[in-house]
Amino acid sequence: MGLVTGLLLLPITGPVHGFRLFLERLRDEAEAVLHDEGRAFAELIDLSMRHDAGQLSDAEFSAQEAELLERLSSMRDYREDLLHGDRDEDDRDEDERDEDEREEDERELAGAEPDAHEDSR
Amino acid sequence: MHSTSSQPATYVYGVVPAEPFQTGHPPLRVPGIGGHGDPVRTVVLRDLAAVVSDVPGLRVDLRRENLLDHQRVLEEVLHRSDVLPFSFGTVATNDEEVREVLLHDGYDMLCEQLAYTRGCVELEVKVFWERERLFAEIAEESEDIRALRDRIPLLPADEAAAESITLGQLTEREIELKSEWEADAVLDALDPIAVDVLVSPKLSDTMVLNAACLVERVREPELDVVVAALAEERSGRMVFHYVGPLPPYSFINLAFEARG
Amino acid sequence: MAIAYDRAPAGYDRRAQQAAGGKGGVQKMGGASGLADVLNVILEKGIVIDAWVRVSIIGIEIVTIEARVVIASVDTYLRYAEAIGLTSLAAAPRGSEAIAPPAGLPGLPTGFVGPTEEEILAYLDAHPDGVRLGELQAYFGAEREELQGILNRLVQEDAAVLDAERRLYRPGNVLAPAIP
Repeated sequence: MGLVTGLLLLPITGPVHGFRLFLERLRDEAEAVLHDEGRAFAELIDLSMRHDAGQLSDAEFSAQEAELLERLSSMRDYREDLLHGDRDEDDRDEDERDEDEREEDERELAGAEPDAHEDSR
Repeated sequence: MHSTSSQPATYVYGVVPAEPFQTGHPPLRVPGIGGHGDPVRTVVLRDLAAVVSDVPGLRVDLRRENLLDHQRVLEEVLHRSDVLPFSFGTVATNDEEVREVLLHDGYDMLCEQLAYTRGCVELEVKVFWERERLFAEIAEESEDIRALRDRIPLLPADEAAAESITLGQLTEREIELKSEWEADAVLDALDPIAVDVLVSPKLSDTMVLNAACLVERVREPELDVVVAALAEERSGRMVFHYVGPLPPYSFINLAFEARG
Repeated sequence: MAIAYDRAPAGYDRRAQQAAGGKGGVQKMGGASGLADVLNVILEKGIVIDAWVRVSIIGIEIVTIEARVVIASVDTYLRYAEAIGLTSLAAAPRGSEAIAPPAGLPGLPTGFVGPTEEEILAYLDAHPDGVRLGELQAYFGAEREELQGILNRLVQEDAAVLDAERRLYRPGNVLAPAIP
């Protein structure tokens, strides 16, 4: 994130068919995550209310809040991975191939025979 | 996920009309996100500006301090001007990217959104049932539920278990119906004052309403009165959380596609 | 870093307010004390740089809205049953404070015939800005579930339109106000 490539115009009038199918496949996974996120938001509000009511000390509140925010953070990361998962895999494949090539070059320079290695996937 | 970059980057808080922040006007005094006192400044393109500050990397952790910093900067900005807020944690690679891609490419959309929300702020209205009262009311209002409730203790264990599930299902349905009815009543009271009200999915089963109001600044005090009255009427039955003013997060539809 | 934020914009620290004997009901919060309440807004709304948003905006009916509804389970039902069970222990006051029950108006004669689709459509046409279910219920004096059923049919037939975000029904031939 950080390398912004373009503007996505909204609102969109209707989903592109293929894209919608993609969405529906993601759906179960995403529903679970979003449901959990909703729960995390609710728990944070509840925590806040109990703190306000004096049922939790400042220290207890801080600790539990930090934990919930951490959980929320992982869920959001997971959501991104769901979406970017394929892309990351391709990047990894590329990186590993680059590394294998480098290793091969080094071995050649050292005079050894290049190992015949298969792609690791 | 992505490798954590250690290159300095530009955190983006929001987009504003440039004028109130240009020379001749006092600079923003609120510190930037991260706790290092980074100055909050603007990146300008034509008559728009992005409110930004430096951050050490592309990722900003979800911690109370960071969330509050983000909030405070936008609150400070909101005092002085309309602002289109960015979602928490929005980091651009650098100022150039902010100017070229956000402000330049997004110029028309940003102007349009600023026009739509001109002179308005957002207030959150979240309403929760007082749990005990909710169930008491349901029992009171439904003969069927009362009857089943009273029958179950007299049943043999396995039947009791099955009937308990039925009782739960009936109750769930009542919760839904009651909540919707009450939510509508609240919304009907907010409608005349607010420019727009958006309802979000409830966060828990004992939530009545999760709404965001877009209201003209000058009418905010009227909304205060209405919400106070709604809460007073429902005192003991429901709890109202009324928070704001915020920049109009919920009333913007604008996204920039990320790569990398 | 000290978080102390003594200038609450148009708001109050709720605990301080309560300590001072402030009224229950509602206090308007801003800044730190309301953080939990604005979290879903500042994390999910506003302008985003995020490809995920493309998925959720387009699929917002599929993914976002449905997913947030609490998923009921046997566990949930048993919890509810238990909560209702407890109500038999408390003396329930005859609902003088409760606002009109949602199950329909009391005292309706049996054999009461609810509104027809045409009547509902006529009402919608007369209120193009949008109508809530509660308003229809009050106007026609009908049971909510019955009204819901009719409205669902009308929406399916495109005779009516549901604006889910505002919980308003509109006649099917009227365009919703344009939102950027």
